[in-house]
Amino acid sequence: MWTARLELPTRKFIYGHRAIGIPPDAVPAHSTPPQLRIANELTSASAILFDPLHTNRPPPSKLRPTHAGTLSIANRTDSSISVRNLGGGHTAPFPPTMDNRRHPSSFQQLEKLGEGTYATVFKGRNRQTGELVALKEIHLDSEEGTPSTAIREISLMKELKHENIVLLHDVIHTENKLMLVFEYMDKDLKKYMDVRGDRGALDPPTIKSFMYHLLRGIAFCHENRVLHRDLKPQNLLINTRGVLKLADFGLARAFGIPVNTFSNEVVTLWYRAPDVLLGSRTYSTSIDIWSAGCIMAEMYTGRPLFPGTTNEDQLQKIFRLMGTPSERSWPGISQFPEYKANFPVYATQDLRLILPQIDQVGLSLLNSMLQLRPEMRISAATALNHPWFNDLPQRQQQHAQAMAAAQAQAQQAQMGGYQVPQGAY
Amino acid sequence: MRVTEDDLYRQSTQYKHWSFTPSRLSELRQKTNAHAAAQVKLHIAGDRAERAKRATREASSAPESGADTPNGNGTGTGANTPTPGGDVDCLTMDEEKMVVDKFCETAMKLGDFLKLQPDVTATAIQFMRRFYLYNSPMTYDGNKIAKTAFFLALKLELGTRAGSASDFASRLPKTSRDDIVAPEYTIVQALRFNFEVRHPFRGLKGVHLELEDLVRGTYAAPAQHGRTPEALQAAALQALEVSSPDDAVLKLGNIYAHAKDILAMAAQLTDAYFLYTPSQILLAAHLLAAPAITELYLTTKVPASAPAYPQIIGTIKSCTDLLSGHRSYSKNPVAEKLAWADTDPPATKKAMKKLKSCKDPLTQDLVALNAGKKRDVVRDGSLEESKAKRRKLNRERAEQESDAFWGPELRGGSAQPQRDGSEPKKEG
Repeated sequence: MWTARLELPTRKFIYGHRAIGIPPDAVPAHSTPPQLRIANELTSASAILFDPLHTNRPPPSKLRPTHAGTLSIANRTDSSISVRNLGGGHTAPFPPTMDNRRHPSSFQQLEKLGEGTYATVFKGRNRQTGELVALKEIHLDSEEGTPSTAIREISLMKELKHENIVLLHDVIHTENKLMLVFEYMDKDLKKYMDVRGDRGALDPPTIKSFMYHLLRGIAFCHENRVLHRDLKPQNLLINTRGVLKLADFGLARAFGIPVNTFSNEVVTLWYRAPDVLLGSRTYSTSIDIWSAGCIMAEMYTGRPLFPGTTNEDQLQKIFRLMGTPSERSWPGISQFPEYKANFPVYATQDLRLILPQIDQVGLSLLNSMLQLRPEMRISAATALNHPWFNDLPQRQQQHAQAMAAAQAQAQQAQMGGYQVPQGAY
Repeated sequence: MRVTEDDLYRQSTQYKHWSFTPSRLSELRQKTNAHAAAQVKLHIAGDRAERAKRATREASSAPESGADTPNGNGTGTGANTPTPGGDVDCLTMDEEKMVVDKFCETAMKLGDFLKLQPDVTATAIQFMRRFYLYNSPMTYDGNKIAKTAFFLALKLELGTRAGSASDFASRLPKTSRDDIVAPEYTIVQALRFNFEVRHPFRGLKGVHLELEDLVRGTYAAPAQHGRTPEALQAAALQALEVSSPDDAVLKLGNIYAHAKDILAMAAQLTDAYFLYTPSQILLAAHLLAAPAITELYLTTKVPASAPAYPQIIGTIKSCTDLLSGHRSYSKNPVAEKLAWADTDPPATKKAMKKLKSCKDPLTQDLVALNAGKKRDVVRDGSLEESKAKRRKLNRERAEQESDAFWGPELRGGSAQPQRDGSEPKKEG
């Protein structure tokens, strides 16, 4: 059997969080004029071509500036470009043409945004368009090649294109690192709450909007048979237009029918569903809904709902609020590997006691997300239709669009459309 | 508001980048073949010229001395090595396809030997098929690519549970960790980082579960086109030629197993993934395993009277032809699943033999190539002479090419020192 390695709690590739922004005046005084300093930071053709690592030819003494452009491949699809294509062309069967959009040097690397066990995230700027991006740099281990987390993240991000999922623009592969180019997001939800909230707590309209975005992103993942498995405020990014998007799919995985057995070492403890804590390995989409519920409550209070320290403590914190489940309230619970007959028995508390700011309708949605039994938890698609979202302007807009689309579809059906096979892939 | 499965599939990289019409597919292969053949001829000629030069330089009185022939690098047989002008007989596009199919069959046996999950093996084989759409087997050796394709598929499917590269290497005969890791870069690049492969296996399971409901009379799909669950149940029992739901479930189990075998073998070893969607492939496999019940199943989704029906069934049937045309296909499930792969058709044998004399000499040692690309320093003591020679040749050619590309500005007034730097290398 493979052993599952827990690598989560230590990871934090956070785009906006813990930024190490160096103010310009913090840079020590230089003897060279500032213009030259910038010039020195840019790499030159001769620096690349005559890098002693790659050639033992001496560099030419004088190099006149020429426009060389960079290379790409004809017939390419996304991300077929890498620095290696500059070489002998063994990997690129088609002759190169000019286009320098995809070269790593076409991004200006700005400050570091965060660091994790397998990646460092920098803020970057596309030199051609001026567009800001997040550059996730993954160092390639010469012994293991591309880390599996990176492979899975790239694999999923290439498929998941949705306005509530952070967009992977491109992947650039160089000799010893992999650079994922993501759309730039202003901050993560944690930071947003710290900066914009009242002692971390957000105002109800913002919470409603963020929850709607969050659930839309989750619903899209689930429709695509993808579980995120690591939803937490640090993995939810907010852009300057107030749009929330899901990020960090390093732990996500595809699921299907039948539900396979998964590792139970997923999702940061505080946002981990009780069934996972009890040792379930057959969890499904409901695992992400639990996390979403925890996040919703946290946006109201500014504090994590269940800040457990160990697996056991986490369960106890959940039971203290939601009530200790029994065979009667949750048939089959005693079969879980981590179930203990001597769990302290707590009665169910009213969530409103700790969330006085929440309205009645919102509370009903929250309660349906924070169901102890996974099969009782609301689905993301159903949650999006919850009356709590009725007064959301975007919701009304999307509803109108959906109605129009349905009408068009009905028309098409009359003209001989058909129902596609379900569950076909 | 809900998107259909078709909409979702159309957003996938498999649909966007790895689905082709038959003509586009052969056009691509033609292009890859032509480009690779030109490279092979160029590189073999360069290799021969280098060797001839060395032979005369060393003032060897016997020009056909076999001492120069490097062993085991596959650049040529003794027969054609000493004739510098001899034409290299490269693989044709059709031969390349046979060779790639053979590589994939070998990979399938490897997956079987390693007792990997069918999904992992299928993903690895599809990685190979995608890889060889843009690369020639003359350029990259299939057995080397296969090992790395498997490691990538393992990392993708199992994540952190995939184990280390050395673990994986130790499970393979005569394989080092470097053999596994070195070609990875080349492969992920050819795959354009499109790692997700949408297999038909899950969909087949879905169809199977729905059919079980159908024969039990509990089928409740949205579009039944006016038929009650009871009517559907009766029709299903008739289609399966059984009288009780229990017998039907039993029979469905056999049909499912048979269809799964077709997906695990014929669907992997043909162009099915390039030409059809996962649902078309799985329905074709199910149709091969049990035509009557599959057609009934289809009519629960699309009424036979629908204008699109003939087109749908036509597409599925053409996929059926492709799958049943593969030599792994058997009308009934067999116990020895890979027995068919023990002998190769004569044309494949011929192509495999031909491959030996038309491999690109510059791309055979992937480990050295990878290391050389990382750090182009000749470690004279540690490299065989022939390898060092080839590396040098490679480097010099790359230098010439880069000179040609970057133009004369680079040399400028400093042409002399460069000459001084590079000339002795060519001489000595």
